[in-house]
Amino acid sequence: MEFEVENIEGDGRRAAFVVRGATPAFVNGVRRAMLADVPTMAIDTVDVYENTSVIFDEVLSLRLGLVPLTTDLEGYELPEECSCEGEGCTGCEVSVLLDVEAEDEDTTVYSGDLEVEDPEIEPAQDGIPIIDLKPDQAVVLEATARLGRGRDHAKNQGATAAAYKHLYRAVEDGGGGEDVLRGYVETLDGDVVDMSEYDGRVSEAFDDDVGFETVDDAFVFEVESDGSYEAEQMVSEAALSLSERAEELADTIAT
Amino acid sequence: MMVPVRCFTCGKPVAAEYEEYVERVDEGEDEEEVLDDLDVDRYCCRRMLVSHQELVDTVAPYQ
Repeated sequence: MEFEVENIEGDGRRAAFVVRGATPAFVNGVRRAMLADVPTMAIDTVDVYENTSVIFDEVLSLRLGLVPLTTDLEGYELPEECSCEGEGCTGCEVSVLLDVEAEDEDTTVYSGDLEVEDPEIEPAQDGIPIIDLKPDQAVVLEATARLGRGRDHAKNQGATAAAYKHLYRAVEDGGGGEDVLRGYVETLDGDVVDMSEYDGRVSEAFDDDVGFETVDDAFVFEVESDGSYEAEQMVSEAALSLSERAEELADTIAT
Repeated sequence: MMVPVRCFTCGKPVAAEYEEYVERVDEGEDEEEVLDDLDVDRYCCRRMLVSHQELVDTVAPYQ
């Protein structure tokens, strides 16, 4: 299948682009791959050595797991695909340390206090509050981060928003009809404009007699990542995982 | 207890914005403007911050 992709905008965690010449089934496959298939790094097991705070160990562990970590797919394998067969080795897991003591004043522990052994992996945001400590309370723990997929746990869902819709196209002599349009619209010249620049008002962006129709094989994608990947990388990983699965299916049928 | 790390519905990490949100709202800024400014766009994420009640200080004496 051949199709074109044109970028509209993208700045790190967000991206918007138009896919032309694709089918709804295919773009939906990409969307679902972004949500469920692209692996992300997240804390998976926690050994708590000391926790004198008011938060239970289990709650603390859940909060640690939900912190997005930057993901390095080159350096790590999924535990079930690793040569150690899921036992745990440096090829599929990395250790994370947390050691904070509130001496004589209230202290908040942030995701930035996590010390990851591998400098390639770090919390995507430093300012996530993990736990509040009162004077003389302390947390000391060692955690293990692994790759995982969104279909197994929500913490591994790298895309916080992945949505697409048909591209709208302006047509001449359409007789108006629409007052307000949201999202991206293709103009008569073939450019794609963001209607939020006009506050959605059609009369400001187009001539009076312009009408609109959907383009059957063009889709506007809007993607937002949780920080474990740049949005752009997330889309390519999703497409890659889709093609790998298609090859796997073809191989299975052939044998 | 503590602010949820991610939005329950979409998974966007929202906890990091909570302290700034509370500080700015306490200074008298409009909640809607603060949330827009912090790029918390969807209403699922907005309710995470708007409806959160910090309870650690209330519970702490009973530990």
